[in-house]
Amino acid sequence: MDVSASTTAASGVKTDVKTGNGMIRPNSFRVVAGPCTVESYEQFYASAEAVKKAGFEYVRGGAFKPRTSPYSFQGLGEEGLKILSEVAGEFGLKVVSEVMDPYDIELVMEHADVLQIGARNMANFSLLKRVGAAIAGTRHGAVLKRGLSSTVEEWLQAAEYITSSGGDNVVLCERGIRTFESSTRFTLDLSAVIVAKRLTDLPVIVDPSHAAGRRDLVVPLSKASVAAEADGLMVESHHDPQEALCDGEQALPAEALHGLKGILRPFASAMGREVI
Amino acid sequence: MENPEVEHRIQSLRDRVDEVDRELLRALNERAQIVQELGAYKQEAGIALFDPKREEEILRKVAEENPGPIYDSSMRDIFELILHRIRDLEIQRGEFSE
Repeated sequence: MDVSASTTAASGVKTDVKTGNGMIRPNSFRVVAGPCTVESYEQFYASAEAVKKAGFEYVRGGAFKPRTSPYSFQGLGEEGLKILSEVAGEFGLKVVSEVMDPYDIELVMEHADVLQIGARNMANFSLLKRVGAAIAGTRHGAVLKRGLSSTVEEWLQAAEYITSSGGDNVVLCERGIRTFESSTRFTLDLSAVIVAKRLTDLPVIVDPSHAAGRRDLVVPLSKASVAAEADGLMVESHHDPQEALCDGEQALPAEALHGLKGILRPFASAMGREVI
Repeated sequence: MENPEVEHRIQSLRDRVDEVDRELLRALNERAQIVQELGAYKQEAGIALFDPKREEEILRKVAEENPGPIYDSSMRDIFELILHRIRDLEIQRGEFSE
């Protein structure tokens, strides 16, 4: 068997994938940033302003939070969605927000451009089918996070539930898997990004924040994601992480977010991409 | 086990097993070559390699046509592994072809 690894940079890298709604563009590296949760108008305003100032076009923020404990803060619900769309509208930002319940799909679509399906719902096939049918023929997209104990195969099959129900603009998101390692919250599986990109034409982005669970790893993992052929990032940022109601320890503060584009630029350009 | 008759019988059955293994090897590699040809064509035509519909079709057919004695579910497992390992080969092709 003659298998000699090529050392050519970027050989075989698919940088030309895109979604019809413009979230993922050819030869680009999309950064989505924002707080874990919409906590209040003031908090989300300040965080969205930081995203805008950092030069990014997509903001994330959760109104419905799937928390491990039923006693943790569960999100502001509809009130949070209204804050999301109002603030994002002011800054001209597109919104990514999680939907957990099929009953909320239309409501979330009113306020968000892209519906996120969280890791804990990756195998909720009835939700996937309903999201697929709801976004079919619209400019709405879906970000499908990889389940924390799911194989790449299962993740791609889950995406197929959305696309086969008619949903376009589907983006996969690697967010770390459960392993024996305890120094990070999850283990970011960058090989899964590459494998998924080889197998499908769906764009793949990375969430380094949830994977690491700690702020200091977010920037290095973001650089690694660019090199691992990812089409973008979804990072958590907060204007005041110390005061965050949710996941503050992994959120980038405004000043760090502000430097992110410049830090990623040389890595992206080596991969033939522009950071957007 | 000193009985030459027993040993002879075992050896001849093992030879038949070896013969079947050689045939399996040949057939599996032939399958891989055809899939590679298909993969190259798909890449040219801009079609994604991942095709869960087709995979399911193959696995269903395998179970349906399986005469036994291997259980249908086991045969499905075996073929799933064959499908995926050959597909792994396929996704590495671009990287290693230069």
